Amino acid sequence: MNELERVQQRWLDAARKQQGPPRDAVARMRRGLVSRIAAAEPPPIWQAEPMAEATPATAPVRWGPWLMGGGVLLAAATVAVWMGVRPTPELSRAADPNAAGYGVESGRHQRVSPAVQGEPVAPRVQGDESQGEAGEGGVAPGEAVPSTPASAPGAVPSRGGAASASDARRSTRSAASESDPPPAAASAPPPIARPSGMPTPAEQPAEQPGAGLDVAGEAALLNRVKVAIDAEQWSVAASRLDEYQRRYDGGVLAPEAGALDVVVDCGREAAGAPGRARRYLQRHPSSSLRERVRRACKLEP
Amino acid sequence: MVERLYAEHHAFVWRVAGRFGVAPDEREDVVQDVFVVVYHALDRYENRGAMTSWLFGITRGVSRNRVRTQNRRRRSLRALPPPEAANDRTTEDVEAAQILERFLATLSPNSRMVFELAEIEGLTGPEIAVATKWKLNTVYSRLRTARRAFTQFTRDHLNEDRHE
Repeated sequence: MNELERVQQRWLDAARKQQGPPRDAVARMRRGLVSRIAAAEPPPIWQAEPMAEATPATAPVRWGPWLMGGGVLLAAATVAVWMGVRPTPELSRAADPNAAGYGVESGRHQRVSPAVQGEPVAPRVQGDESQGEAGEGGVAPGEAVPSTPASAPGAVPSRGGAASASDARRSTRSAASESDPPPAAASAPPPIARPSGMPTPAEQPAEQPGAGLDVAGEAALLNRVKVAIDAEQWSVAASRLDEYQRRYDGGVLAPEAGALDVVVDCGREAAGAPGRARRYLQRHPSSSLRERVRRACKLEP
Repeated sequence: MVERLYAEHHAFVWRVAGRFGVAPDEREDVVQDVFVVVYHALDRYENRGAMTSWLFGITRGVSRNRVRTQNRRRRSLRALPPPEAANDRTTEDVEAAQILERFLATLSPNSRMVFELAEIEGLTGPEIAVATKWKLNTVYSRLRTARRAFTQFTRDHLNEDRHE
């Protein structure tokens, strides 16, 4: 190994060490992991997404749909010119199953009376092209657009009855919950995709917002919040509360989560924390966490 | 089994989470999340491909999910000090890591990712290709370019040292 390689190796070793976790964090994470597994905590929500440039720029262009669509459009335009009529109204109307009830006169649409519906009418050549164009017009762009993450293969559909369960849970939500309103995607939860290396597309037991009650999971997560609060790790506690909100927004333990949120705010002496604490105490006169909130926020009994 | 995997790969997961933008005070939770996912999915893994490639995919997904909500929380926690200071690193280590960081900053994001996975994490080209879903040729091409740049950067650095 020459000098250059020695220097490079030293930099790389230092970066590996510098970017790695501190020793105390390693032990703490291991303890947390063991307790979460022991508490049978469900796996967190996560999404597998392709890296940027997952589809290289050198990917072959699919000319087929475009050429076919262009050819059909050209044929439709030729026939339209030959017929001497404007194609657009006819094309759209020809696709209408009730099109036989319409006639064409001087480019205006007229409802044909039932009495004359049985009479023979001129053959409608445009109908064929219209169907062709309608089909191709929808296909070509669709073929060219790559699938979005939401529709990516491997996405696991939400469990049945999720919407109704979500509604039921939302109805039990405390009006005094300090959490944000439910995300707009609650009715269509983000897909829980799987990594490329996972071999089977079987259902993943991960929960989604509104996917049913999981009181044990809620309690386990709030317990982790309390552990962080007791250790005065405010940012960690806030992070876990955020995770609670993401996973169990409107859950049965939302009032407790709200109380812990206030405790965290008071612990880190956030602006407006005492006011939030007073409001919480007013709204939850029978909360089991009243004393904890009062102590953390140094409020008079 | 999960304990063994944790013992072997926790530092890898931690570093990858950092590369995807997870703040230091959230990485403990992300690492735990990753291994909770592993615990639930391990019976379906069936030893296909390298474990590091699989862990990379899970860590990427968990990290991106976390980063999405990270900024909102940052608003209220901006005033807080970092959760803990690294106390097991020497000044020389910090300086050496800073020099390497200066080099990494010159690379494109994708080249940087390939270089870090190869040179810092020790993944092979095929493992990186599986983890990132990039073509193997693309991986090798980026790695060659990054290594050439690294050699030039190191030469320049050594020359500067000699002149000073």
